[in-house]
Amino acid sequence: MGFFSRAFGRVASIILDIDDTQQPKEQIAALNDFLARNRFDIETTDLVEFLGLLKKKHLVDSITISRAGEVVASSSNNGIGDSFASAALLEFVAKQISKPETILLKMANHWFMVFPFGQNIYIVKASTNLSTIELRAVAREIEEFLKKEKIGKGNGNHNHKKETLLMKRAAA
Amino acid sequence: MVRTITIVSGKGGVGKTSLTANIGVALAQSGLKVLLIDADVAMANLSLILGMQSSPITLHDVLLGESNIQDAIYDGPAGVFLIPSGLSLEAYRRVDAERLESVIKSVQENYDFVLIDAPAGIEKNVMAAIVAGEETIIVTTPDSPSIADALKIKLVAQRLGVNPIGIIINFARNEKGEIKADDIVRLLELPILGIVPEDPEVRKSFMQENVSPVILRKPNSPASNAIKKIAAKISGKSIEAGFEEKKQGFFSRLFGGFKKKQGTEQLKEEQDKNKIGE
Repeated sequence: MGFFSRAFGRVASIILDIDDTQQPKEQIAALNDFLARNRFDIETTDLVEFLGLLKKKHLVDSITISRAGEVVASSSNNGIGDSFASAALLEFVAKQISKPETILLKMANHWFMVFPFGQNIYIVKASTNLSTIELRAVAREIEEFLKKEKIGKGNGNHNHKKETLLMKRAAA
Repeated sequence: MVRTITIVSGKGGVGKTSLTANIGVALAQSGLKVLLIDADVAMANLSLILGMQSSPITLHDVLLGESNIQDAIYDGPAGVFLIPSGLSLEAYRRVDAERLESVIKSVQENYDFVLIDAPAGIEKNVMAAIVAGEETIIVTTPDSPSIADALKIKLVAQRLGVNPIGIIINFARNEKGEIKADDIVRLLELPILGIVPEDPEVRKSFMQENVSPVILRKPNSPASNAIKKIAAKISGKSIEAGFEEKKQGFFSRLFGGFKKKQGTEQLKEEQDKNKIGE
């Protein structure tokens, strides 16, 4: 099309108020697909399974809950090691600097994040660092679960019958 | 009981700030005590839309711990209250947006509604604005890029434990290619709180000597009426919508212009007479 026919077509479409738009159906389908891939059903009564679902929802690699030096539950292979490391880190920073709200450590290929919340310490590993807001959201969700399922309430001795589950690694 | 609502969009340029200002004014006009907060600490412009650009103490100063929150609350048009953000880039670099939640909680009980204007995107400042509110409203335009971003911001809000209450579709032109309201509801799985038509009066409201929200400058324009309905839906209070100004055709514009000219001349004559009377 030459310049004049294009210009004439444009003027005609304005004068006649021609609507030449179309619904982008493929894009709507793509959005539907995106939605389907991002559904999170975290309804379960199993703590370890819950952590496994939660790590997918919050896009992290692992979550460990530690209390008074013990591992409450972990979705990591190295829950005990992470728990020891975080306790030592918190103690060191509190002694040398001041009481921290969060400790973020950049490792070679992941971030190691320690976040005390309530009576627990949350250790989150992910390929990118989370803000305190995100860490708090993870912790809040777990605290609500623990409260609902009455796990580890009161003291640091976890004598609840669900303790048998605690050190199991979550299914990937 | 106070309702603290964060207005988010994901995508920028969908009219979120303008809607926040106008919904706030509509709620205030119905007798509610409304506080508007500009949580867009990087690209603040809620105060510009409300014509309140000269505010010496801002949210930046409060978040930096340099000012009291009460000193950053200003009286706005139609009885709304505003906490503006500053325009300073230096202050923005130093601000810790994560303090927003506690700052807002310290004043929210004095109001019926607190509306938080969130920044675009899904970064930390946006998350801070989302968790500062107890509810979230998502603004989108009826096209796929905007809806894709709305979908992402909805997921972010849900991750943070804040459930969005509905969607506002802005700049609707009723074109064939627009994504229909039903499809948007299906995609976002949220109810529609209202559809605001594209209205040149909204844009013109920013182009005045004294800038004011469209709902004050042109209260009966199509966008203003749609906004009043949204405010009514949110508050559950009936808000009177005006008579919609019909779009004028060529001939009515021509004769309307002629009448207007006649009216202007008449007014000038009356002014001249008054001058003579003096």
